[in-house]
Amino acid sequence: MNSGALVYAVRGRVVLVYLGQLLLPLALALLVPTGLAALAGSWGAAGMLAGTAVLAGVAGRKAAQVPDVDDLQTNESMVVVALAFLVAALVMVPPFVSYGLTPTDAFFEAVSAITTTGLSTLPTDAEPGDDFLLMRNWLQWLGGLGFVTLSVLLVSRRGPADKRLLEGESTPEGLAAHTRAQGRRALELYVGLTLAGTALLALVGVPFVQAVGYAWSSVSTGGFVPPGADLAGMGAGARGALLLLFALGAVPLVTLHRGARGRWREALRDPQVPWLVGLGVVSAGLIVLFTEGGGSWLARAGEALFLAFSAQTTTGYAAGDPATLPAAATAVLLVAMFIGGCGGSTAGGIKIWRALVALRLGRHTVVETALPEHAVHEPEFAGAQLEHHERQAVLVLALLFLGVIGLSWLAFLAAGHPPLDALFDVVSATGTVGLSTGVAGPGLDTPLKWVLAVDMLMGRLEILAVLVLFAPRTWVGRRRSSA
Amino acid sequence: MRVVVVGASEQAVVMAGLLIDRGHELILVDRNRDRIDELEEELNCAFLHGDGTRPSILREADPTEADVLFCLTNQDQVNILASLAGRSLGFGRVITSVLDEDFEELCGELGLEHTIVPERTIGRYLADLVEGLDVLELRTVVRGEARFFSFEAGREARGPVVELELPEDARIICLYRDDEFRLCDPDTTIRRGDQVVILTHSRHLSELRERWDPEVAEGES
Repeated sequence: MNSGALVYAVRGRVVLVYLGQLLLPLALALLVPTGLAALAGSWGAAGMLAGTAVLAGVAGRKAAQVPDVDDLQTNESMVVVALAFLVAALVMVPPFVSYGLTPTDAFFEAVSAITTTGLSTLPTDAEPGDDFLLMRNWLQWLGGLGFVTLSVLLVSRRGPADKRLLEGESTPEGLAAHTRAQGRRALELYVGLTLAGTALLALVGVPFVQAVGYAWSSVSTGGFVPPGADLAGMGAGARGALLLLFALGAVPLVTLHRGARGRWREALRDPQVPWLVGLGVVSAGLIVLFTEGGGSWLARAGEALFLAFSAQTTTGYAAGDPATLPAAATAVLLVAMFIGGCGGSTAGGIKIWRALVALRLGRHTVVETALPEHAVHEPEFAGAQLEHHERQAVLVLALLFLGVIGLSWLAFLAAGHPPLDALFDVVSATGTVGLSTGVAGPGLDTPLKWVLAVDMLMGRLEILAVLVLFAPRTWVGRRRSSA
Repeated sequence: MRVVVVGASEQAVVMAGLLIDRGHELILVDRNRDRIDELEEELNCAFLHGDGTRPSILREADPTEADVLFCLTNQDQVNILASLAGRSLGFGRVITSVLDEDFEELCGELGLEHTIVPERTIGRYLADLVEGLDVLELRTVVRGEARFFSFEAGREARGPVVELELPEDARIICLYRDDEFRLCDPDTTIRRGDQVVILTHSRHLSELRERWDPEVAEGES
């Protein structure tokens, strides 16, 4: 076999057209930070953001007039998504620099926000302004929306299980129309959830501006704390409301959609949701078990629940300092961050459904030993047979995550960081979580900041898209003639 | 050349092997996954798994860049449908294999001009072999720009051969009257219903086709 004749490089025009179509929504979205900066009197940032919005709007309108190409190749769609996240991060760098950040820090904050991570390397005494902090919350919200809308383009070959979990309702044929329909539905739900969350937080006593910031960073499982907010001093009711909000952020939008329409039976068919709850509760129990401490049993359980779900949903709010946790509790959080939330939501990690598929394959391999040689026995997941390429994709992705984590960890070890703390922050970045033991902080060497920034992008784009973006074959070689 | 073959029949595999050896780029389309698995090691070419009559499948082979589409499954209907799909997708040349001669006529009416009837070709080869001829060597005689063209004479073509105004590099060689072979002289008279064979320079082909087979010529453009 020699598949060379069927290997197609990406068509620059197709990539540009699709990227261009994403510019129009970006231009609209940029109006929010423009307004924030203008209200706070940060005229430099407001000017740059407004200028970028106009440019993006003009280019986007132009791209919207070009007809769709429906035979979008997988490498093309991946390149589009990867570039979309990169572009969204890059356009925020100049405004961030205008708040007094170094270019590296500005890029780090922008990537941390757009990937819905929430790590920060800003000094604690830095005061870039409330508008900057809210802007980060907003960028997380945008990143979350972008991910739930575009993640369907990151799957190389969709099989029955992916389709069932990530798409759900009948959607129009053709990838472009499909993505747009998906985007519209996601937008409605996402905006609805954000508004409901803001109202809920305001209701339990969170000041309005903070409620908005929290809602932005929670439905996106981002985890930046809004200006003036103090998580540690937050009341139990407010913290409960926050937990509910970011837990919902880690539930697939399709499931929320069904739930919102009262179709509970359909909604619960996705095994990910009960697993999300179960994993969070078990992790919390283990954390309570491994940590000694004062305070009432109930208060400790509450703290542990908040932290466990913060890790499992890849949100990354921390009321305490994860660095003070005993090693065993840190390890529990590591596993939670690696697995992450549900596929089809804004959460990161390898996603619960992939972990379940891996589990199923493990069981399948054991059962196989009890079968005669010619018995036909195929693994199933969520009521559908797992096709060969789906199984492979799941296992390869888990391995890629481990590989990226391993290599990045090595860089931190070489720089002399404590092993467990370094591993924790690397997994946190790759899983787009945002919990930190303090390794990712203002004192971090510039090259290591870049390593974490790349980890966050890799984790958000499920690694494959980044590999595709940098593979020579993506750009050099035979191109299909556009239909 | 970039060659796409629909149907991994025995014949297709033999041809594919020869073309690969001659340095051509080959894509084999078959709907039977087991058959593809079987051939993966044997043939150094690309494989597409799917129904070759479906435009969406053929499109993956990038039709406008491909020089030839061979439709070589064991089912004539499938080959015809795949050929029609291939033609509308813009393959350079489409070659249709039909086993049943019934379909050959249909292919003509559909404007599929390159049809082969493998059994007949082999049969004739075997028959000629018995008589000590090797007609397959014809291609060593008819080379370069030379082409045969044949048409059924209608009313307008009746009369002596010399009166039929042909392009400069085209000559009537022979005709079949009631399936009987006759060599043509300048004074041979053509009758209605004769199957006339012309040897011509390839540049006159379209002109000839337009003259005697306007429907097909239109279908091509």
